[in-house]
Amino acid sequence: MRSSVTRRLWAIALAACAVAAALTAGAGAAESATKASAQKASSAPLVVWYDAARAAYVKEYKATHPNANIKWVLYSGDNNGDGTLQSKFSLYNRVGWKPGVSPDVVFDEENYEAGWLGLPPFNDLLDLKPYISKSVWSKDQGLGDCLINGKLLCLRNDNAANVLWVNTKLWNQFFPGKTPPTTWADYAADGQSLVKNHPGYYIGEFGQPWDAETYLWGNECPINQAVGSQVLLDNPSSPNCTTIAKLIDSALGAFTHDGPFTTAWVNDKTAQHMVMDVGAIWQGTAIYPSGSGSEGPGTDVMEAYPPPVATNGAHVTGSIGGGLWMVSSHTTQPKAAAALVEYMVTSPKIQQDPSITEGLPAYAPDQDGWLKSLNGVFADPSATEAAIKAAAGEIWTGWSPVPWSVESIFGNTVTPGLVAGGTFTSALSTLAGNIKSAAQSAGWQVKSH
Amino acid sequence: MSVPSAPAVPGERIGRWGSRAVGRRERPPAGSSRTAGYVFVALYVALLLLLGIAPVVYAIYLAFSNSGGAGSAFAHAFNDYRFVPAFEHILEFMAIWLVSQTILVVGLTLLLHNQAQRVGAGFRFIFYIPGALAGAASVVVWLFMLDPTASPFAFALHWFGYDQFNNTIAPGNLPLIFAIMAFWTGAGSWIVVMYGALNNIPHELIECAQIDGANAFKTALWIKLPLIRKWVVYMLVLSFAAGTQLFVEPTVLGSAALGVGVSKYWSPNQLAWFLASQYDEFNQAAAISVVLLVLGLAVAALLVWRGRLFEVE
Repeated sequence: MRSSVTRRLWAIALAACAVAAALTAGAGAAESATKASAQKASSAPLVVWYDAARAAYVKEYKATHPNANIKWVLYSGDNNGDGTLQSKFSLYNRVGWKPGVSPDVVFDEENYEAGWLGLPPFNDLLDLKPYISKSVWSKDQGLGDCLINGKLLCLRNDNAANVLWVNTKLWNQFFPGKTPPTTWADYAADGQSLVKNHPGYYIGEFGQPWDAETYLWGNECPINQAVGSQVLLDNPSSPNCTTIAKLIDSALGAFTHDGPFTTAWVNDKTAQHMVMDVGAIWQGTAIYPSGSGSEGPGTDVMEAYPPPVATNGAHVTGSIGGGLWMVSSHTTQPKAAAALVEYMVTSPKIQQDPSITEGLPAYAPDQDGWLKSLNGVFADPSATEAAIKAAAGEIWTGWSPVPWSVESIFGNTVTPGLVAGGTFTSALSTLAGNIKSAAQSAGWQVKSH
Repeated sequence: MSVPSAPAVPGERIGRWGSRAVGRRERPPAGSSRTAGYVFVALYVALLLLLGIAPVVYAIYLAFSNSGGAGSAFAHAFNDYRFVPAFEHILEFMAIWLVSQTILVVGLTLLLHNQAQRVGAGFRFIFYIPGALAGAASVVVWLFMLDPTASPFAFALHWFGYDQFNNTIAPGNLPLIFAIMAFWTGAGSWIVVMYGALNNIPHELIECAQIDGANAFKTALWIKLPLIRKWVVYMLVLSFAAGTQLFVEPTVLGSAALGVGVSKYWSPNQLAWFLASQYDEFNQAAAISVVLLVLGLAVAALLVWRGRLFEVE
């Protein structure tokens, strides 16, 4: 009996091995077939990964470059820092980057990720300096996210500087004869008056993952500042951090916890209750239009003002979003890849056409053409254009691109406390502590002053 | 499953389970059907080797082959600031889920079995329905249920003072929320399994107990429950392994919450994935996987041993 069982087990094991061998052989054959076909083609196509919002760029590029040998791949754009790029890149790093298969050019919606994919353990981004002339890239604004340790690891697609969006109709109704705030102290005072006299109306939103980029980045708060190769300054007790947190706390009732893009925001018609809001340039046309999508007041009552001056007197602002064009360091066609990136970022056909480019172009020479399109969109087009242009050049460079997501840390550690009735001041040390832990486990050294 | 203390009733039933049947089954089947048997089993074993055993061996190899020395991947993983919270989360979740699932599944099945003639089949089907929804789909259903601005049960959420989705998914509520999700997806199929086990108890045995004066409650507690004990242990072994590997629920909830409240490394399995895919730390990820494997095997061994799962009487 025992021997018959053993014999059966052997038979099963042998058959299993045969099947396993057949399966792996099949996979291997398929792989070598693709290898052969890749070698057969005279040159592998340039592989470009783009997101849905860049589909119009691709269409335009195809129209102007009918003979380009390009494989276009639509992907998530890594939106909300979903980590697609990191996971794909780490897999390519294990199995090898294959021309015509792995990406040569990537569009990334997360503005800090050149500091993630371009630094250890990834080191997967090409320094674009040898391929793109300085006279071109130096006119690309917001490069704090791309110039890392002296290398140019990406180009900014759009400039997402923050401005003060004001609903002029509500403002004139609630604050007749007054001008919108120019300092954070005035801003908070207006919030307090709103809580007292017009509850249910807001001076901003607070509790969304990107709010560190609004209030802390915009006030030169040094809790995410790279001060050397893999060295971070994380100092939440700096007055630049504590002052702004106290001011926000003094008017907490005037901030909505709902973020745009949530169902609650649309259901409650929150956009119609925003008297003002410090937000990115692109938010003007993304959040405030009337209609079922956003339930806003209509862009014709909105006007952009310069963002509040930092509490230390500096004219700076933060930045929410704004995409990046990056080239893989493993590309076999660096020239062609860099040329494509340069075209996407600078071409007037793409960047001056607001039906293709939704946000302000990062490339300064294209900005005037794009801004002209705002005529008739906002309450005071010329004042709005001036405010946008000024803010675009004021993005603080001390908020660094790093290999961790401050947005995700903010959303997971600060927001739950705020929703439960906590203050920004009390959340500040939690935020900084979590940034420190994330930095240290990514192999960074962390300094507190 | 054996029925040790069953009275010796002649016929099929004993033949099917008792030792006398073995001799009859040992007869070699006809050649062709025997080959077919090998082919079927071989397919399974091949897939098991490729997709089950090989990854485990590779994970163990990765976990111990770190450049910093054999144990360094483990040391790094244990010292990661996300490691202990992830295991705390899963511990809380398992405490709520395993206890409530065991009590409710066994209780409901026994109750159902008592009512078998009248409503059994109907209720069995109703219990099973939530389980027919695959993990991710059921999470999506729960997302609507838990959002006070969209839920048909918003009034109940308002009782707890929850006005926004972010209130509902406050960090302290997450273990309970995942336990509820896991219960609704898993309990139905376990009720069907337990019900099958109860149906295997010889009717004569129950009758004997009733003649001896046992009421429905006593029959359930002293006759039926001990006889399905092995199935309860079986459920615990599988549930423990599945529970420690929690991944889909926190991942889907996290992305639906637009990055608010649920971190990407809430559970150990998520942390392993996060380290591998976001920081290229395959060795650390493998180390965490090995910890989960050892934990699952240890608990399974304990339950099998204490529950005498493979004992033949």
